Amino acid sequence: MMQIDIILPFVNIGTGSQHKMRKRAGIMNQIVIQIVLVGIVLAVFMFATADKINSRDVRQQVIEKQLALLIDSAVSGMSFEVLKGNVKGVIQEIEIEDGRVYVKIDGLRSARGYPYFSKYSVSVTEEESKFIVRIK
Amino acid sequence: MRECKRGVMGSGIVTVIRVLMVSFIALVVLGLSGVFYTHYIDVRSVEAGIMARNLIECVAPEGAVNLDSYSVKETNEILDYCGYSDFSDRFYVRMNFYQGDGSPIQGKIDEFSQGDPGLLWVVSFFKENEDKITSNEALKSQPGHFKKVYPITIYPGAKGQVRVEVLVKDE
Repeated sequence: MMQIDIILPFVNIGTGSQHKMRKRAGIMNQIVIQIVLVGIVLAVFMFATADKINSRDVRQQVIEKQLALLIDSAVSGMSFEVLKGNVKGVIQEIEIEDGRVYVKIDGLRSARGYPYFSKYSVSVTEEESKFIVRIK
Repeated sequence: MRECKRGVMGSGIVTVIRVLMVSFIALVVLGLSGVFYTHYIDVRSVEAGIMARNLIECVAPEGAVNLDSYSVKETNEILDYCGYSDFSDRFYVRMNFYQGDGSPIQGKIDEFSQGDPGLLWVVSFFKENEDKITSNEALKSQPGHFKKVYPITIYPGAKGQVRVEVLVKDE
């Protein structure tokens, strides 16, 4: 009996602390799962934002505005080359229509283009690996 | 003990569902905003600068100007004179000619302008309310602005200045 009395309190203490530890472990698990899920959501946000910033629209806008500014500042007799394999993506087509520059990237032509204000006549010719914009 | 396990599992499932719902709502909001959001690159001030340079090259190609010889004096329409008549609805241009090369300048001797002078009011409105207007959409309506003073020689040899101001409307 004496032995049991001595052992039981220890057993009782052991079960209590184990229960507490399991409870804490459960809470910790929940927190870890939450942190991981929040991290995943944030990563999705980050990737979506990065994708939007580097989207086709933006790349098209950059190329169209660069071309329009080059045409604006060019004088008669000048010509410049635009490589198809550009840093901003593969340019499939450059069109000059009604005083606007339209660029086609990833199979889609931009809807609005960008206006230029050159008083000279502007034309674009396509070659194997580049476009040549001529100011006459 | 079994009930406790069920409770832990239940709260875990609730947490996962809650987080999934939040991420779903977040993705819907992001998707919707993505449709309307486009990153806008403003080059209108650069266009204004290029137009100012082109006009100066047109009016005073070698840095010298004979104001009496220009037919622009009859109509005062500088864009038409320099071959930019198609763009007068998008640009406002003002060129003020002064005698003298420093301050105090001796006085304005001529002025050429063309376009919508209302753009000047828009520019001053945006300057006055610089701190209050923060919306990107509102800032898009701010015209591109370029202003510069060029030293020139006014025929037959007097030193002078031309103050060029170019404003560019939204596309």
